[in-house]
Order: sequence, then structure tokens, then C-alpha cells
Amino acid sequence: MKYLYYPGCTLKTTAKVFEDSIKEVSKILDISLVELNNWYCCQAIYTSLNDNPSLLLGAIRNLIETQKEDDKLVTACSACYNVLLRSQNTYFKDEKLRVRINAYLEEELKREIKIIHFFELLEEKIDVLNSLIKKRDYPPLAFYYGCLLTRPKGIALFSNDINPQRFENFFSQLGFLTIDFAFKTRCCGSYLTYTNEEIVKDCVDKIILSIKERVNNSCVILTTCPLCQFNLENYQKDYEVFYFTQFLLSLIKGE
Amino acid sequence: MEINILEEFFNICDEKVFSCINCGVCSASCPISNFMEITPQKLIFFLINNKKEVLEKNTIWLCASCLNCQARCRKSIDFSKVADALRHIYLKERARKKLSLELEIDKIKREILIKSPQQLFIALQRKFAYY
Repeated sequence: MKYLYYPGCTLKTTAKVFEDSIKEVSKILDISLVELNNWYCCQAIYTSLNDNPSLLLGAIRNLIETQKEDDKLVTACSACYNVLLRSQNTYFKDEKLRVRINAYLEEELKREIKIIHFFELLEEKIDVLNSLIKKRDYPPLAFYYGCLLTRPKGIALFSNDINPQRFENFFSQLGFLTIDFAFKTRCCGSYLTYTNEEIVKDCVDKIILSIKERVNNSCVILTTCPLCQFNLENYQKDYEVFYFTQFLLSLIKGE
Repeated sequence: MEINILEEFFNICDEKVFSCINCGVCSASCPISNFMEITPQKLIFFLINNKKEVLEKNTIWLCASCLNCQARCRKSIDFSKVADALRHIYLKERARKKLSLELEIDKIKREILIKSPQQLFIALQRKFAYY
């Protein structure tokens, strides 16, 4: 299958390992990802003020670029996924704002673009993945969802925002032990790392503590979000933190 | 010039803060409310009573829009939007008085600045910038 793919800025630089692993995994699974033409910043975080249409322009322009070729867009970065989804939702719901946004644009967004997370493509290919995996003797996996894929309720990828189970199901179908922990969707502190480091330390401590309650010795933390990955890796040394595709790739290669 | 905080607020944000029942589930679910000078619930209470002090509290700068409170709120109030709007009003006031912005980039640790994903940095700038 061929899909349009929106990488976002982070996957091209600090989260390069994430993009490399996505490309390799999709090659192995026969998913062809074609990078979107002229893509640029999705504007990093969703903010909406009634008097300011420019806050949504970046995301909407990317979607307009998409509609020229396809009506689906694949992304893997949690932040991009969240911003694109919420911006599109606001665009179609808020008529007044839409008129003002259109005044900035050469072209309108005519129809809703289906925004797909890369994980959803992997879910469809689970049987193929199962036959490819070489190594299964791993410590239990703790999947940290974070806030961007689970909220706002109703439109986010995972419908359950307290105890989502899709990643756990996915990996237990592949034959891995997964653990449930209390703070898997709790905020990691995000950009407060620049201004209030002690808050992010506190958030990460609590997340790690809730994992420690459930495992005896070692475990591996998996995530989809470059922002969470940075905070979790930077403020604790007990567990390793991987992107889920990075982890899958190492399983396929048998490393 | 005295600003009317409620009026300014409703100019740029249509969150239904008056439907707040002050149950405090937002404060209870907020992962960082223990660092805040006043909790989200109190902030909304101050706001609907037209108290300008809300702009001076660190609460509006600490909200990182994780939406945990919005998912729990019985009245579906999105506190992150309230914080966004109040930040915006504050920054507009400062810009009007020709004061510099609160955010001091020089104080950010260099090793964090280098290692962190730039999406995180853009997010920070967007929360502290006046458009």
C-alpha cells in the first residue's frame, strides 16, 4: 500500500533514530511511505484563540498539500498527530474561524483528511510481523502513552484515556509480557523542562515510581512521542526508553 | 488603564467558565497542581469574580496542556484554553506597556537546549509569544 507521510521536524533531527526505524520497518512490511510535498512545521502545539486564526495555519496548509494527492496522511510523531487532528477538527467545527483562516489561504481545505498514526498500519500487519520476529526473551514492556495520543477525549487515537490497552494488546499478540501501570497517560511535563526543571523531574519520578510498583527488576519503556522520550530519558537512569518502531526493528533483526 | 479581565477573556476565548461548579476535580487531576500558586479550580473562581490577580499567578504559565483536567471535568471546561487566553492577555498588556517578555532564553541550560527535540522548544516559544 502507498501512503502519504508527514515526518515533522523532530523526526528529521533529534529523533532521527525514530524515522530511520519507521522507514526500515515499513520497507520490511511492504508499506510504501511517500513524503508529503512541501511539508513544513505543524506549529508544534495546539493553541486556539478566537481572535487569532494564524495559530492553525501551519497544520491546515499541510492538510491542503495532502488533499492535492490523497485523502489520507500518515504520521508517527505524537505531537504532529495531535496538532493536525485538533486543527482539522476546529477548522471544520468552527465556521467563523474557518472563514478567517481561509482569508490567509490560496486554497480551501475541501474535505476531511484521514490522519493515520503509523501504529495503526502496523496493527493491520500484525500477522506478518509475528512471523518475522526472531527474539522474544525480553524483560516486560511498559508502554508510556503520554497525553498527546489519548486526549482530547473523543477525537484522540485511543478512546480510553486512563488505561488504554491497544499497545499492550499489540505486543502481547506478538508474545511479549506487558505491564499495566497507573501513570501511563500522565503528563511528562513537556516543555516545562526549559523553564521549570524541578516540575519535569517530579512528573518523571512519579511515572517511574508507578512502573517500579509493577515490576520486580528490569523492564523496557516504549513510547511514540519524541517529547516524552526526551524527558523520560533525560531525568531517570533506571530504565531504557525506546521508540516502539526502534524496538520492533531490533526484534526483527534479532539483536 | 484598568483592564476588565472577564471582558478581555471572552473576547478571545469562549470556554464556558461560568458553568464551573467548583468541584475541584481539575485541581485534583492536575499532575503539577502542587507547584501552582493557586489551583486551576481557584483560578477559574477568581476569573469569574473578575479578579485581575489571576494574571500574576504562575498557574497560567505552568499549564502544559496535557488535558487531564478537561477529560475529567463534569462540565467539559478546557482549562488549557483558559490558561492560553490568560497568558495571551498578560502578554498583550506587557507588549502595550512596551515591557520585555517573561521568558528568558539565556537562562535555559545549554545541554538541554542542544539535546531536546526542537518541537519542544517551538512549543515553549509559542506559549510565551504574543501574536
